Amino acid sequence: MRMTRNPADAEDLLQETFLRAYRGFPNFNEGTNLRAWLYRILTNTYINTYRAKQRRPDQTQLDEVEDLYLYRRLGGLEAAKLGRSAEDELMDLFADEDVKAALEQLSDNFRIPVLLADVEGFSYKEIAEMVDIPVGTVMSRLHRGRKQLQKALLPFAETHGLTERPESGRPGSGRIDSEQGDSEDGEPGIPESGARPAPDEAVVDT
Amino acid sequence: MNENHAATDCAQAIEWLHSYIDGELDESDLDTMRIHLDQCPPCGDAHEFERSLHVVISTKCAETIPPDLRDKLIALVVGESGKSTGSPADP
Repeated sequence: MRMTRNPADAEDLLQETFLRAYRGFPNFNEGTNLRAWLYRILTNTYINTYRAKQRRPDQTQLDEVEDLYLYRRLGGLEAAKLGRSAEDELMDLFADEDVKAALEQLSDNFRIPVLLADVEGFSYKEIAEMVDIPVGTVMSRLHRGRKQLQKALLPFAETHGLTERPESGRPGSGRIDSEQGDSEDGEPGIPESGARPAPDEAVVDT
Repeated sequence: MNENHAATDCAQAIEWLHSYIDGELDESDLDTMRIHLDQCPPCGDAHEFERSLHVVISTKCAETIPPDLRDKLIALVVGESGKSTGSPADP
């Protein structure tokens, strides 16, 4: 459902996946993860069938979002210091619909890895096999996709009134900012300082 | 920033953050990461935030399959098995 963005397509996708899985079951190797195998069929079916139909430009994905985007803007969640856990705080801050809507704003290249990792809990290696991209590309898409997701989530947090401290809400000292060289928005696609995430070759062209 | 460690440690920790949360950080880096998060409150807070956000996202996006669709899928596979073997409802 989160993959197709609408219930009718989700139903079609599931039915098609079940049929393909059933017909392909003789090819299933015992010992491999059945759930991962099914998701691989599902992901492939989605990419081949639905993606072409609702292809949308990836232009919006090209702006780079800095690390810890949401954390910095929410000022580290003041209420957490009042005894509530960050988890409780965030759980209340976003409605289910907010998170789903934010996720839907991502293009497929980023949304599918984020969905498979964060919602379905698959490993990088499993996702690489499902989407048929190298593990390094999974990592880089996850990295960028999650930052985009955080950016998409911010307006919902603002609507719910948690960022009521417009200027002082971004504490400049004592937080991670200073260690990051304080690179702000607009830094053009420079990969993270390490060499681990592979350059995402497919960001622009699909 | 904390005087006990260099700024580069924090940059490294932030870079590792999601791999760490995903349980995908290299074994050899795990101790370094744990010690840093333990000793550096700003990175520890950032970790707690990101970890929590991760839980919130997975919780709020979880879907359950509606019962009628579930029945439909079962019927589909049963129908399919009938087609191939000639004996319906016997997978």
